[in-house]
Amino acid sequence: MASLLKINRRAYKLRQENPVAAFFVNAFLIFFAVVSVVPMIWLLLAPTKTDADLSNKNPLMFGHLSGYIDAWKNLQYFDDGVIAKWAWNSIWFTGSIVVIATITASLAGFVLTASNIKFKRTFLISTLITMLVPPMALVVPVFVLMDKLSLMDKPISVILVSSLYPFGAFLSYIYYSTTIPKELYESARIDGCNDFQLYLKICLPLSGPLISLLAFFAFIGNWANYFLPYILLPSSENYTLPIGMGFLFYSTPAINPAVGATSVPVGKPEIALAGVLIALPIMIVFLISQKRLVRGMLSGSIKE
Amino acid sequence: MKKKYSLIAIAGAFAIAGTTVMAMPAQAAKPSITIWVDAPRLPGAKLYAEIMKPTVDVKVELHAQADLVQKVSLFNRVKKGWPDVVFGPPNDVSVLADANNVLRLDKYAPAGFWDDMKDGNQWCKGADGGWYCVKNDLAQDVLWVNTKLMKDFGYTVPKTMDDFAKIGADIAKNHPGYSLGALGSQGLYSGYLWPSQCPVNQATSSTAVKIAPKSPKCTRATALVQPMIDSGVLSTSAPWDADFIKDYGQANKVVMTIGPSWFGEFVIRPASSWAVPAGQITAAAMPMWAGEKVNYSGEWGGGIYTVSPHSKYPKEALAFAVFMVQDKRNVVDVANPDGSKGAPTFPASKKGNALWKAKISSDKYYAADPYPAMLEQSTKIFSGEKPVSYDTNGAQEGTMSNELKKTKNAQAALDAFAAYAGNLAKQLGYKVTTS
Amino acid sequence: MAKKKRIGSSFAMYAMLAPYMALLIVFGIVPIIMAIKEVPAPSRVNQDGGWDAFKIVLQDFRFLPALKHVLGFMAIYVPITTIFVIAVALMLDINPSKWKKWLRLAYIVPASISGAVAVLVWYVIFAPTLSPIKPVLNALGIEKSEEIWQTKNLTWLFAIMAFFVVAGNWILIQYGSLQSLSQEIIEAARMDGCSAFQLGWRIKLPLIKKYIIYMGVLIFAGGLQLFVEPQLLNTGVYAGIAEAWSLDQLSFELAFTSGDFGGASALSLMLLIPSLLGALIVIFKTDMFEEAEVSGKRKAE
Repeated sequence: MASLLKINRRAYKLRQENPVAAFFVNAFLIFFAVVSVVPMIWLLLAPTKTDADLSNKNPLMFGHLSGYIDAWKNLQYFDDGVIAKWAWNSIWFTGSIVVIATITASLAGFVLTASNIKFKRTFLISTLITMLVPPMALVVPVFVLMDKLSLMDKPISVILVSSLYPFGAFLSYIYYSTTIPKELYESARIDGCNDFQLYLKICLPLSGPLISLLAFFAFIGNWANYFLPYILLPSSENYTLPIGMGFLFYSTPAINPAVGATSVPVGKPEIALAGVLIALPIMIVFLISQKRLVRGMLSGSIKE
Repeated sequence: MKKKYSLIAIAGAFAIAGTTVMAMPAQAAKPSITIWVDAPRLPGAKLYAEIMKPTVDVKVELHAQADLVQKVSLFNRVKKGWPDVVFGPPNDVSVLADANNVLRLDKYAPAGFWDDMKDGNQWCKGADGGWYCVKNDLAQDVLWVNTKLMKDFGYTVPKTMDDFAKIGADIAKNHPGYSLGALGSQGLYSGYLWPSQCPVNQATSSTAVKIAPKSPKCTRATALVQPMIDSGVLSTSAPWDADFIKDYGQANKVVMTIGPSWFGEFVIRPASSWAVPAGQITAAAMPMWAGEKVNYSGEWGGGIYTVSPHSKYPKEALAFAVFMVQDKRNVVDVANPDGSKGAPTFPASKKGNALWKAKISSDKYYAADPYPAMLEQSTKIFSGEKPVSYDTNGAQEGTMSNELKKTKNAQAALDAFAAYAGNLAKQLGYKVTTS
Repeated sequence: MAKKKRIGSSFAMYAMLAPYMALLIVFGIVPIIMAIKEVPAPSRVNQDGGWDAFKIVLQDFRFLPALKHVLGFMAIYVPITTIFVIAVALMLDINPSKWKKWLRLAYIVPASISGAVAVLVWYVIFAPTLSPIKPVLNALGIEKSEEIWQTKNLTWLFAIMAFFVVAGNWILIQYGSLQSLSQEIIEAARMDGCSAFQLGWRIKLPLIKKYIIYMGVLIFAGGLQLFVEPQLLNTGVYAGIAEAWSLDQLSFELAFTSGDFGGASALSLMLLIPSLLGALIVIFKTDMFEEAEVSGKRKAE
C-alpha cells in the first residue's frame, strides 16, 4: 500500500509537471511492449497454420487448433519421432541440473555464511569471478577436459558442468547472511546442534524463497542452452530441443530451401512448433516469477 | 524385439534343439548400421530400412551436410558414434579422408558392381586406384530449355556461349522480366566457371592446388555473365530462393537455364518449386565456349556415399549404397512425400541409369526426351576439378554466392572465393598456385 | 574462542561445501589448466607444437575479420542495450500508467526467444512474405529477405537479436534498483525544484551507477561469446553467410574442422581475459559486492 502511494505521487508529479512528456513516455512504453510481444504471438500462432497460409494470410491471424496436432505428426516423420526423445532429454537434463545446482549452491551458501573454514575469502572471490565470466567462455576448455575424462557424448557431462552454479552459491550466501541472524546459530549450537543439523533444522526450513529463486535461475539458464550440449553431445539421440531445432534448420526445407522443398514434411509450422516447445516453458516461468528475477539479480546490494 | 527373439529361441529349442543352437549366434549378431542421408535420399533410405528389417537393423538419420566434418571429428575424439554410411557432397571423399573417415570399398562390393560403376564413379577413384566412395548420381550440366517460350520469342537453342549471351541481351532488350536462370548457391561455379575450365579447384596432387581466378578461362566466363547480371537476365539468387521461385519460376519466365541433370525433376517440375506446366521443358546439350572443341559440363551436386573405416559391417553398409544407385525400388519406384516417384537424379550406375532412362524418356511431362542431352553431357564433365581436403563446396555456397549477391559482380565474387579457398588450402598445407 | 572456531570449521562444514567446491574446481579451474596445457600440442598449422599457437591464431586469416565483427557487434549492442534499458527503466519509474504491471510482463516475453528460436523468429520478421511487420518492411522498400540478410548487415542483425533477449530482463532489474532508492533523497531533490527528467538524470542515475556497471559487464561478457545465432544462420539458413563470423565460431572451426585444438584453446584463453578483467572490475572497483567481500574478509580474519 505504501509503495503504491509512493508511485502514484511520483506519477502525479510528472503528469502535472509535463503532460505532453507524460503522453510520449506512455506511448513509447506501450509501443515497446507491443514490439516485445509480437514475435511471440507469431510463434504461438504459426503452428496453427499451414505453410502456405503463413505467407498468404495475415501473419497474426489464428488458423486451426488442429494445426498443432498436424505439425506434431509431421515432426514425427523426422528420424522416427526423435523429437520426443529430444524433448525428454531437455526435461531430464534440465531437471537434474536444477536439482543438483540448487542443492550444491544452497549448501555452499550456508557454509560460506555460517562457517569459519580456511580460504573462505578465496572461495568467495573465485565464486564471484566465475559468476561474472559467461559459461560459454569455457566451452572449448571443458571439451578438452571431458575428452580426457572419456565423458564425451554422455549426458552426465553436460549435467555436471551446468550444475556448477556460482551465481546460486552467491545468492544463497547473501540470502542466509541477511535472513538468518547470527544469534540463531549460536543458540542452536548451545542446544547441541552439530553443523549438519544447523543446516537442516535452522536454514532449510527458512529456505523456501531461496530455493525457488535458485531453481528459477537454474532453469532459465539451462533450458535453452546451446553451445555446451552441441559440443559435448554429438549423437542425435542425445540432443536437447535447442540443438534439435538447429538440426531441423539445416536438415529440413523449413527455412533452408536448398534442402529440397518437397522431400520432407517439416516446414515452417513444424519448426515453429519446435520453437514453441523451447520458448513457451521459459516464458511461463518468466511471467510467473518476474519478481524473483529482480530480487535475485539485485540481492546483496539492496537492503530492504 | 528382444523378447520376440527369445520366444522364438525357446520355441525352437523345444522343436529342433540342434538347429536352434546353430541359429542363435547368428541372431545375436544381427548386423546393425546407421546411415546419414539428406532429405532427397530419405524416402529411399527409409524404404531400404523397411526391406532389410528381417536381416539388418538399419537406422536412418536425416543429416544435413552442414556440420558433417565437425561431427566426424568430434566422433573421432569420442572414438565412437560414427555413422556407417554417410551421403554427402562429392568433395567429402577428400574432406573425410582427411579426418580418417573413409574406407577403401573394393572388396566389400557384390560381384560386378565396380564394373557397373566404372564410368560413373571416376570421382571416387583414389590415387592408389582403389574405390573410396560410391557416386549416387552424375550432376552434369545441360541446357534446360522452355520450348514454348523459345518458340514464342523466336529463339533457337544456342550452340555456343556467345549465342547464349546474345539471347540474354535480346531478352533484356525485348522481353524484360524474363530470365536465363540463377547464379546463386553453386550456379555460377558449376554452370559457367567449371564448364569454361576455370581453375578453381584443380588439385594437381594431394598437396597442391591451382586456384587461378585471373586466368583467361575464368575471366571469359565472368565477362560473359556480367552484362546479363547487370540487366537482371541472370539472377544472383539461388534457383530455390523464394523470390526467384515467385518472380521467375512460378511465373514461368525462365526461357532457358544452364543447370544440372536433376533440375528437371527437382527444381523445374515440383508444384512447390517452379511448377512449370507439362509439355514445355526439355534438355539440350551445353553450349560450347569460344575456341573449344568440347562442350564441357560442370557438376552441381552429384553426391557420394562413403563408408566409415570404423563400421563393424562394411559389407552391409556398402550394400545400402548399392541399393540406392542400382535398385529399381529406389531409382524408379520409391514414393516421395510430394507424390512424385523415384530418385530425381541421373544415376551414376549403369544399371540404375538404364532403369531411370526408361522412366524419364517416357515421361509425358517433358516436351521432348531430355535424356539424350544428359547422356551426352555425362561423358563431358571437365575432369580438371578434383576433390580437395578443405570444404570447397561450403566456400562456394558461402563466399562466392554471398559476394555475388552483395556486389553483383561475378569477377569480384570469384576473387573473393579464390582468396578464401586459397587461405583454407594453405592452412591444410596445400601449395597454392594462382597462375 | 578456540571452541567456536572449531565448530565453525568442522568436518561437516567442509563436507557440505565439498560438492560445490568440487564442481567449481573441476569445471571452473581445471578446464583452464587443461586448455593451457593443450595450447602447445602439435597440429597441422603448428607442426612442432609450442607456444607459437597463440601467434598462429592471431595470424589466422579469419581472426582479424572475426575480431572486427565481434567488436563492431559490441560497439552497437553494448551501448544501445545499456542506454535503452536505463531509459526505459527511468520512464517506467516516473510513468503514471495503470498498466505498468502489464508492460513489465510484456517486456520480459522476448527473453524466452533466444538461440535457435530467435533465428527462426527474426528470419520470419525480416521476410517480407511472412512478416508480422510486413507494412513496415514495405514502407522501407524491402521486397526480398535477401536485401536484409547480407553479410554487411549481420552486425546489426545479431545486435538486434541479442538486444531483445536481454533487454527485458535488465529493464525489470534496473527498474527494481530505481524503486529501491531512498525516497528521502528524491523528495529532497524535488523540493529543490528538480523536474522529473532532471531527477532521473542528476539524482537517480548516479545512485544506480554500480548496477549499471554490473549490467554493462555482464552484457559485454555475454556479447563477446556470440556463437549460436551466427552459427545457425550460417549452417541452417543462408549457407556460408556467417562462416567463422564470430570469435567463438572461429574457435569452434579451429577445433572441429581443422582439428587444431591447440589453436582453439589458445583463442578461448585469449577470449577469457577480457571477461576476467570485467569481473575483477565489478568486484574490486565497484561496491556492488562490497558487503559480501567485507563480511567474507571479516570472517576470514
